[in-house]
Amino acid sequence: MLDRLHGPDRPKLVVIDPRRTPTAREADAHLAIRNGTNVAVLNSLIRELIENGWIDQEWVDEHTVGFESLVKTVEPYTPEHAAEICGIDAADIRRAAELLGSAERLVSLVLQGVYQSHQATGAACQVNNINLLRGMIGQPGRGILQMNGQPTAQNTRETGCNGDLAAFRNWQNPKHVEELAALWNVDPLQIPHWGPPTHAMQIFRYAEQGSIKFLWIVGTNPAVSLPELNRIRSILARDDLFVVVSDAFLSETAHFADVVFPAAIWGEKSGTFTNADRTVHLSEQAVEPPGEARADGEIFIDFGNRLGLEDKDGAPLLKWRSREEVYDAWRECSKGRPCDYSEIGYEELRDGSGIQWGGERLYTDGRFPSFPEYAQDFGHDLTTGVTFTETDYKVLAPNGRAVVRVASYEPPSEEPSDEYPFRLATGRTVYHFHTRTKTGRTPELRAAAPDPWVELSAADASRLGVTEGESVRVESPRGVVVAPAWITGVREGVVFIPFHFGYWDEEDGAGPNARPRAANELTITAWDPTSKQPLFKSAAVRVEPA
Amino acid sequence: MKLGSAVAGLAEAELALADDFRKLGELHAADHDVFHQSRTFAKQCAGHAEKLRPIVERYGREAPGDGEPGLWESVMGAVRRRTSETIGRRPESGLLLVQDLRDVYLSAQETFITWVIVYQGAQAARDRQLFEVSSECQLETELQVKWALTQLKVVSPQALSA
Repeated sequence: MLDRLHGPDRPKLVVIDPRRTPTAREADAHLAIRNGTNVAVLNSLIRELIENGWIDQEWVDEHTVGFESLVKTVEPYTPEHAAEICGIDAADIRRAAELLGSAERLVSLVLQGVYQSHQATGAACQVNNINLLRGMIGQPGRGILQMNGQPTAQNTRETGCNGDLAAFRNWQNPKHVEELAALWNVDPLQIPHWGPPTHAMQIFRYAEQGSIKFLWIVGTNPAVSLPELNRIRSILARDDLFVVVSDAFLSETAHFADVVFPAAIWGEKSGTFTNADRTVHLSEQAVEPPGEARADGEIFIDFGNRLGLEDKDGAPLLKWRSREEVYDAWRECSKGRPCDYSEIGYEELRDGSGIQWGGERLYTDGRFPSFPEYAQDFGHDLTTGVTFTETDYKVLAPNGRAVVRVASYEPPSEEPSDEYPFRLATGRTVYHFHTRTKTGRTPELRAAAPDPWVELSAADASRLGVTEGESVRVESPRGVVVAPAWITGVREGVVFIPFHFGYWDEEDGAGPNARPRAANELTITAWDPTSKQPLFKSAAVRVEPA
Repeated sequence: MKLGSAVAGLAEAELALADDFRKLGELHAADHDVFHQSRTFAKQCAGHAEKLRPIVERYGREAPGDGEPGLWESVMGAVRRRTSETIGRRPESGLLLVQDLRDVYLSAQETFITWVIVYQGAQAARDRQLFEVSSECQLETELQVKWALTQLKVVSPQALSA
């Protein structure tokens, strides 16, 4: 995409971001909104599309449900009204809407700026709705990429590692639960389906309450990656919580563990992973894992068997031995579901560079997997997170049409105040991945970004009397970060700090000693009511020279 | 007119429900989603009462207070919140949450059904203002009921089995 911007037949680019990122600098319209106001700007863009007749009404009528409620909800969001909420020019909203409305092809791309901001699901759905209103989905150059932050995040979603039932099965659909029960030869009651999946933030809440006493953390690093680290550390350190950590390296979280399982990483084990564009890859073992390290799957199966987990006929619950046996069980499990792997075996995957499930393109006929008996979910109220029931859903009668969901703008729970006048946004640098457990050990990447920094606008820096490279102290009601200031194109009133940095390579190893530097010292314990993703881009902070 | 008394009762019920939501949030400040959403709902309920105020007065009734907590209530609210942040780190807090959600569910349900009754009455009386207010607000109250139900479904299994 960025290459094409410098070539002939240049496509137009609209960027919504409080930072003037390299991508934003290339944009034809850059809406540098206050973070936390995505829904307001998107509602306004949609209102403009409708007002100006830039929508494909015939396509909308045939392929979607919920258009009337969309029209009603976006009605108050004139460009002037949204501009005031978002802190931008109404003319820029009009300009962006015109670009979206006049495009012959339209690709929308979404990531953490949406998912980790206030009203995350509301904003993500509105991006989908733009493509739906324009009838631009399922054809070349017309589609939506709701990206994942990491190459394996797609397959963890599909398989159920986020707590959902495997292969996009619906916990409110008894048939789906019975299918899983039959596959695993267990009583359907053994499969938790009494409510929505218990998300990570809720699990930590139960641990904080002392009602969870055993926590096994696999390949992630909550002592750096979750919000409000003082709280997370105090939970992990509880005497009544037994913590097991599986990781390739001794992470900050592993410092709190009662038991650490050294885990093999890619290259040391075989398995598949799936990208955001549904491409399945087979990654085969190249070297033996060091020391006692073993693949996560192997650890799970060994653990399950040692626990004596059995199916309803008394046979071992986990019957698989090799990687390929596990994968074949997944092929069977996903058969007939939206992510159908049944035709993609190890043999096929060894042939080329990867295979997309569902074929090259989805939704080519404008039909969507929304039949009640097939749907993965009956949907939510995007503002409150209320789980809709089968009855609620059937009233919509989507039956192959896309369900248009929409939310009004609500102010974030923590707005800037006199005491904490800045809005904090956390994010990435290109040189690091997640909490640096791997990239921080790669000399070139480490040299490229050895330490965190605090991005400020020129106007804010001059008001604070801070010069480039000078150390600043950023404080929220929950914690402190001290790091050098970078004066960048970030929006006035916004402070940006990369979230990668923690303490494993510091003296203490587990938490801040002399140098508090993890962005999540500052962030708020709050999450989107529908997606349950923590709101890392929604906290109020103050800044002063350190 | 009987409708006037129903509307006045509804305005009072909304203020009481606002209070219930405010207390629910304060009592469960360590359950962050409950805390944030309860505050939003408390404001929404007070807003409903505010919308009813001119109608209540039109029917010659006295509108209830403004729904904002007084100084004493604010102080008690802060105490409840501080206490709940401490108590919220004990296992019993799960069961307390179930109980308080159950209570707020029932109050919201009661308020919802009163909206339905008033909505019916507004149509019979051809009271356009009340018809519009009640058709809009009852949807929001219904969502409050569903929210409490969703939360109960989420937290009961853990609270009852832990």
